[in-house]
Amino acid sequence: MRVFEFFSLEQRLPIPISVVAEQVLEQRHVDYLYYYAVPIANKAVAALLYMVEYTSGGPYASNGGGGPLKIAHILYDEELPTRRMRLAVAKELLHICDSDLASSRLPETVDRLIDELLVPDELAGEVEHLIETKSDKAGLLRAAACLFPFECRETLKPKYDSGLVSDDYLAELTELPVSIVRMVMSDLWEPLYQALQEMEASLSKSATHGNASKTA
Amino acid sequence: MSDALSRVLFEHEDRTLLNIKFLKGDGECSKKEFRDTVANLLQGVETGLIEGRSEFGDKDIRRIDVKDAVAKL
Repeated sequence: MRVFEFFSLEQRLPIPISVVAEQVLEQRHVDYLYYYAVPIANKAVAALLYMVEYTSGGPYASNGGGGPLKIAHILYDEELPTRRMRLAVAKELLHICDSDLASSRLPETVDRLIDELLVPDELAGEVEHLIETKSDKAGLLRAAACLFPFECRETLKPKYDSGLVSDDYLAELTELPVSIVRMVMSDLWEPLYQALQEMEASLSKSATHGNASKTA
Repeated sequence: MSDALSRVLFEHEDRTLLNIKFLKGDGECSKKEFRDTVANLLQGVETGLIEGRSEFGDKDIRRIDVKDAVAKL
């Protein structure tokens, strides 16, 4: 089960980031996970995941057994408002579970990822994205699905549609930005959620085929 | 492209990149500025100049049962 599906039946809000992290680490082994709240003066980046395997040397060299250490570093702008910070950190956490196919680990894929991130949002649909970039962009949807579980949405939707519950109330309840709450409460969310599930399934299938052809 | 970001990500024998992902901020910047910003941050991590913590630290936030909240509306 994918992490965002694990949370789908959750009925209590807000979802703590530390609980998302626990679930991520259940699904993908890393030896250490570190968070860094950092100043980013030019606001080029809101958050990032930097996942590395250390073999020797450096500050993370020793793990007792002498074997390689997998460490996930999550950095985020210390000035992000709490709601955006939660969304940003959840997005990066969920990337820890990316399949090999969706991971950016080569110079050319990192370079292309940056190129595509710098395309203005209004033109993004015109650019054919690499699978790594698709995964990066889907990351925000996955984070929204974790932090605003499907079952909670279903419970709140009738009151929301009748105007008894406002966007601001839901933003407070979920500790998410209003823009994300509006997206999740819209009628687009169901097909988006389904597309997300299909994309994840297709990535898993591609990874399985890739492994099969490697071993053939 | 060999620049500060390439060096920190790929030019070390003691570590292998497994994955890197970004969430773009609100600032407008060139590709070079973006790469330099990320490189500076990662160098800070690798040199221990910026210190991480192992917990996000929000486990004990007060949570509300949504069904109860809806019933009270």
